[in-house]
Amino acid sequence: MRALLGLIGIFCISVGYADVAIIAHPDNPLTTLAPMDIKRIFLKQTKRFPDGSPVQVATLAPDQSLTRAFYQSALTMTESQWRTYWAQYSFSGQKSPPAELRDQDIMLQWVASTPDALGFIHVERVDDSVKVLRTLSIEPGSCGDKPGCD
Amino acid sequence: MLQQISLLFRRIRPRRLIPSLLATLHFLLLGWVYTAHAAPEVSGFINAVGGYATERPTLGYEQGNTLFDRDSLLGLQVSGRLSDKISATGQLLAQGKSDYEVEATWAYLTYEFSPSAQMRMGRFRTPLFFYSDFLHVGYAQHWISPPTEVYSLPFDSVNGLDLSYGFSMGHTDARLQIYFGANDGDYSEDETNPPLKIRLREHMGIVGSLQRDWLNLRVSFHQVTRLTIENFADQPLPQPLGSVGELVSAITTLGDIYGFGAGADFVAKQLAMRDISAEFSEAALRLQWQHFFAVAEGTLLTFDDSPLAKQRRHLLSLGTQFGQTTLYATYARANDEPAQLAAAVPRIAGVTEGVRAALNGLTESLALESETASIGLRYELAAGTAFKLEISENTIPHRNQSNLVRFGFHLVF
Repeated sequence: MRALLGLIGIFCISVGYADVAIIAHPDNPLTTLAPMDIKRIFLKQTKRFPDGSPVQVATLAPDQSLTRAFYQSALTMTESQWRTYWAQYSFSGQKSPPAELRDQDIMLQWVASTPDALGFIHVERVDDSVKVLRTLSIEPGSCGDKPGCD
Repeated sequence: MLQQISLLFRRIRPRRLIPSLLATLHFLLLGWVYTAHAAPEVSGFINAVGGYATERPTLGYEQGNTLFDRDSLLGLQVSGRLSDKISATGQLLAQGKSDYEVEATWAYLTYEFSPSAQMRMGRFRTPLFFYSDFLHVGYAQHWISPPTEVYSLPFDSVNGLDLSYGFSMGHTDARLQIYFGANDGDYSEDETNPPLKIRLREHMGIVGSLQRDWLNLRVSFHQVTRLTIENFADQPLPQPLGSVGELVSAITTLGDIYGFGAGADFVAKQLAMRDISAEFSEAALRLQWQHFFAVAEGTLLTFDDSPLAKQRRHLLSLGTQFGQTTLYATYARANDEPAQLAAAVPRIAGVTEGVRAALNGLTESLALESETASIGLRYELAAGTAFKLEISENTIPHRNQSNLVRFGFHLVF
């Protein structure tokens, strides 16, 4: 079963048009991050990495297709659901949405210079200044909703 | 519709807006100016909704005429961080149904003991319902407004303090909130009667919520130890009695003459509406599974020593989301049990029929029996802007069924 899911995963990565890399500072001791943890951190349901250390998150401006791919692959949300979620929490005074960085260059710089950062960029933009904790991909209509496509 | 939005801004009365704004800004900036922290964040929301009823006035909408003020409102929220531990939040609300009079629904300071524990003090939203925290933010909800059968209590806000604590158990997040406070306000359910002047003292509550991926669960319990309606005796009754106060005098007089003084005293005490206690319990569940969601909520409100009914209310809403579109259906019901006061007045032919009928009429008018079924559509027009259309069918015993059609735009910025 695990092998099958792995195969589906490889298939998705190979044909996915938008591969999102979840990135952290290179000194971050974690080597991987489970999809559920990614979701809970970006939705600010937890303020810590699974090892207990604090985390700061940022996203990219929502007008970019990579951001929409991130909502779908990492959060299983549409842009509208993401906005509604944050309207609920920011207007109830409980928590505010992550900072929206203007582009991937700024994201890369921010993650590379912030030890507790968690962000995302396109997998092709990854370089040595950051550490990839997971790669997520989506293919609208084929892989987006299936389990194991992360 | 865009005209309606600009109208919304124009109709805000500057004379009322400016003092409220200044007071709130003063509150927020007091510490901020001197501590040179990041600029306060300003965000806001607008609901611009129009609607009409088909058979009889429904939810404040007129039969056949389209009104644009009943569910329209503008809200502004300002928050600023004064230090690492302290922040200030204010929310101003101008509602169409209150002639866009600006009120500060929130004005509180938050002290964070730790990332998971905080205390708030000032005026904040009473956490009575699942949607209370963002009650007026139409964009944050799928429907035009939460069903009034359930979301009907007169108070949105409480002046007091609360403590909240959040913690995680594996992938389940839990939150516990306890508050204590008081409130005064005028409440008018029916515009033909003078507003009730309500005073709440020793108001407290506890809220527990759980969230795990696709599941949200919320349970809360609230109580008021001293609830007073200052002008209850002035509430009008059909002639020849005229008012609740006159009904009490008539029953007291008849009690003295016909020897049911104890029963008359009981009725007088029940109708005094002074320092009575009330208890409110609520439970809600929200499920989100891929493209489907369901919300269910039930409430129970009971009063001691009063003519007010035992209020049993519930709602169920189901929906599906695909792309930018959400389709939903909602059912809500109020099934109140009227207080029984007439039993304290003996049946004496030709003497007590009138006052007994008046007592029954009064307790029945304070109990709601209503059912509303709605279907609706929400469409995401642009980032932070949703268009909604909702058609509701309202059924009240012994009255015509009435349909309500509402449409509008809900924005956040």
